[in-house]
Amino acid sequence: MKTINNLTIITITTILVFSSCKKDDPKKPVETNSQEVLTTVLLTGYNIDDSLNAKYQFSYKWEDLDGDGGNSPIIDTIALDSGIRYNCKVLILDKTKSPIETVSDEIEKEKNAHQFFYTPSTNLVGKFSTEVLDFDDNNPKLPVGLEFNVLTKSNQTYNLPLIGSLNIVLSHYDGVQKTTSKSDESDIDINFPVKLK
Amino acid sequence: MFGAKVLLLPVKNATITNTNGYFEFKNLPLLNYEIEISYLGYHPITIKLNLPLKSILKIALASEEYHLHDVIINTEKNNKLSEYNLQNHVTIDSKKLEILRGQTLGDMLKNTAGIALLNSGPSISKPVIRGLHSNRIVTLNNGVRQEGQNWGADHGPEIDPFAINKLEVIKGASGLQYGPEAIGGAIKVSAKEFKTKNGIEGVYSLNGFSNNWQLANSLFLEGNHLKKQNFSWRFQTSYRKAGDSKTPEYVLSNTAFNEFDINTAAQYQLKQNTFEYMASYFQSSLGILRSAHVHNRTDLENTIAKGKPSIINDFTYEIGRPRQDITHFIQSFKWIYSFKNANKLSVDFSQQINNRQEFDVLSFLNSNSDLKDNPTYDLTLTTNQLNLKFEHKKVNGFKGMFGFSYANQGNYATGKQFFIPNFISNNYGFYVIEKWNKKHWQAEAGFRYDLMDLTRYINRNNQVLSNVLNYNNTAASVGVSYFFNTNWKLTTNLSSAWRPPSINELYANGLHAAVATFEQGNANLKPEQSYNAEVTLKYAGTKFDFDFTAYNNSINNFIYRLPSNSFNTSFRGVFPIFNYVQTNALLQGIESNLSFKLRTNLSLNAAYTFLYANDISENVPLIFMPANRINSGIEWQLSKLKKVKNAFVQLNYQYVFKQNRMPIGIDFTDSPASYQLFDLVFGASQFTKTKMNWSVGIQNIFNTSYRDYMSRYRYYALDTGRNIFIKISIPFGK
Repeated sequence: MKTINNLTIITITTILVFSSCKKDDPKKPVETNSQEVLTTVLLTGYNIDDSLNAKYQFSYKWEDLDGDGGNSPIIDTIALDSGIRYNCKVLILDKTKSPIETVSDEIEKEKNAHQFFYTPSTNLVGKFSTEVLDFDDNNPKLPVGLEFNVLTKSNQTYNLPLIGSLNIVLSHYDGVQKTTSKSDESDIDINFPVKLK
Repeated sequence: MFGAKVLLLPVKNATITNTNGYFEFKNLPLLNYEIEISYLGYHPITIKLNLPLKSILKIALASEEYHLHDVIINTEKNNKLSEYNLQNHVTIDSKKLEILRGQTLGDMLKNTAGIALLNSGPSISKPVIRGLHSNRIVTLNNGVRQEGQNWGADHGPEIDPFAINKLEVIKGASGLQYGPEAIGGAIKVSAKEFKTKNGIEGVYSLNGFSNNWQLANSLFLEGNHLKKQNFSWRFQTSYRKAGDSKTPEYVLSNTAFNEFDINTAAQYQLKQNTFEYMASYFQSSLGILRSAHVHNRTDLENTIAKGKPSIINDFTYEIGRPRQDITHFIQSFKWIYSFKNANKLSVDFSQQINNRQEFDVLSFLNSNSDLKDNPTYDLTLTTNQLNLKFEHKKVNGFKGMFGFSYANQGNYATGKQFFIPNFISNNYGFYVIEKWNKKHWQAEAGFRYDLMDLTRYINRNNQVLSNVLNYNNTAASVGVSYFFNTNWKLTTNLSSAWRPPSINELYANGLHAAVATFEQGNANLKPEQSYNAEVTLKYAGTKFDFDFTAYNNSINNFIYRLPSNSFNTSFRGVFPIFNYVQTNALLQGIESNLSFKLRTNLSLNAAYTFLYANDISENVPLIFMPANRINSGIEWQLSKLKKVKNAFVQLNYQYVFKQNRMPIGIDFTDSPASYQLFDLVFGASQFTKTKMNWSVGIQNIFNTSYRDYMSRYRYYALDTGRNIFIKISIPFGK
């Protein structure tokens, strides 16, 4: 009789201990790709010397709505007239949010630890140049790059149209001192095709 | 029993039993001795002797399990006095593990021939057996097949190093015993056996390490109660906290870690029944080298060009991002019924829940959103296992067993990014093993059949898509040993094992931040099949010990990552896409151990590991295979010291060659140069009048700067520098 009691106790204890509560069910997966945090880099600009002329106003985008993998990003060609001074702004958006989230506002808040670098391809050197206009609160002040000028050289010395590219890198200075050169941590690293016409 | 190893203590003479089961030691002074008897597949036993003996001593060994072809080695072999290892099976008890206790599982094994370590910074390391690791090795934690996200090279074993009382490595295809995946071998860790005498006792251990200012401590308690000593229990809790590690030149920022463990077990014996319950909980937070988190290929190349990490901060115990938070829970219940005719039936059921959360570096991308405190990946793997085993008694020289095992696994993935999907898998295995021995011969053979299914579940636009993959395969093994005489033994073994493609190889689809690659799985992969052949020659004598093993492991459909010609374009840059592809691989190697007793208190040992791994389809070397190495040591027993007992000094030396065999144009850098390291340990089992085990030592005495080829962060940083340690363990109770 005592044997049976002991066995019963052991059996019941075992069943109790192992009857685990139902956890997350593998048969009900959540969608993990929808949580991308940026979808779009938007470059907008106008001619500084003729600011109301719609001919020189532009808006070009680099957009990847479905995140890593999946469909290829949609990339506009930056088509600019030669011999013009453009004022440009970069906007970074997350279109998966409703309303659309302006991620570049976060960069503005963290400008002391971020910096944009605009590097034209070698065949554009001397014909396409950039000049950053905004600065952070470091001492001395360092460039940020959310706002910049693009100068395109007039076409007296080369043939049009000229095709090249523009590399945009957003460096993040996390745990290191911000400098005027790139950090080893690129939050954004994209290329736009460029066409000077 | 023929061929059991008999070790005479404290003089450390050794012999093995003859064909009638007798053994002798000649010309012994009439004193008190201890003999330790061990035999492959049996629990070792220690017996006290007072010479002269008044009668013939009969010693029975308790069977432990079947070890068909196991080449079982232990860390003691290369670290302590020469062992007479005729049976390929050496037990490391807590005394012998003491020197290595408190270090990681990998560190306990790394000086063993055939073993290397795969490191992901100082906080994560996992063993590599004959070039194979991760999901090609099975780890048995107190008889339970440990199931975490084993596929990850930076996913270390979730085991409390303090709770390891015995450590074994089984090299080569071991699919028969341990089921699918064990094509590289198996690692068995065991806790202390249940106490057999009435009473309660315990041990408190405290370790300190200078390199990362790590403190580790553990409390162990065990008891045995009731009249016939039929209720036993044990309890252990451990905690460790480590700061950033240091190389000879700089701090490895964000490599701090901490770990907390609780392990409990109880055993109750009732007539012919034995019941065991075991539960353990493991929790760890691991910092990942900050500079090893690169956002794209350009960043990676810039960091490599610098030759040192771009982020070096002051030493801290803080763990920032990137970080891994891991918990692992295991419970198991076992029932053994011993029939009166010596047959035995055992049933065990176990449950494991592994949770792994990985946190990437924060940037403006996620610092503002509600995702800030959420992990990048969050994976929960739940595994239930059932094993039934029937062992039959010896009939006409044959002894054997057959069994059935079932495992069910479910994975649940959440987090900000996708890497592997949800899945449910089932595995049914059937096996039979028989062994036979007569006079000079010993033979064993076995066969196993497994049936598996794996169903993946993904969510596309709120629609659940599922698809099923099925696998089935066989594993087999046959081995023969011939004992020429009491000193020489030749063993040969043929074994096969298989491994289904793992979940990442099938379905990975995501970014690998540490190496800036985009990984894409392939659901059409076929299972890997390994055929291993090996020969071992052993000599065990009183002054000299030697063994030599040569193996040939041929793996069909070997799965590896290969960069494709396509790229994934994302905001973080352009990443080369790596696909999982298959080839036929051949891994050939030699392992040799040698130990030599120069004087009664002075011994020398050396181990050599050689591996030649080739992709035979393409005729190129296989990538990321450990370099050849030599480990050696010298130990001096200081028996005449006052105030301390069993004092010893050890000097260990390791030479690791440069890995010259690697495919061209795939790795980011050339393999690192060869290096050599020296370690020194001094220890004893008493301090003044207090009974306690203690040791002090220095690892990497000369603070050598080096990078190991198997260190995954060698692109970014050096390996760790000098490390001074102190270890104390104090027993109490009775």
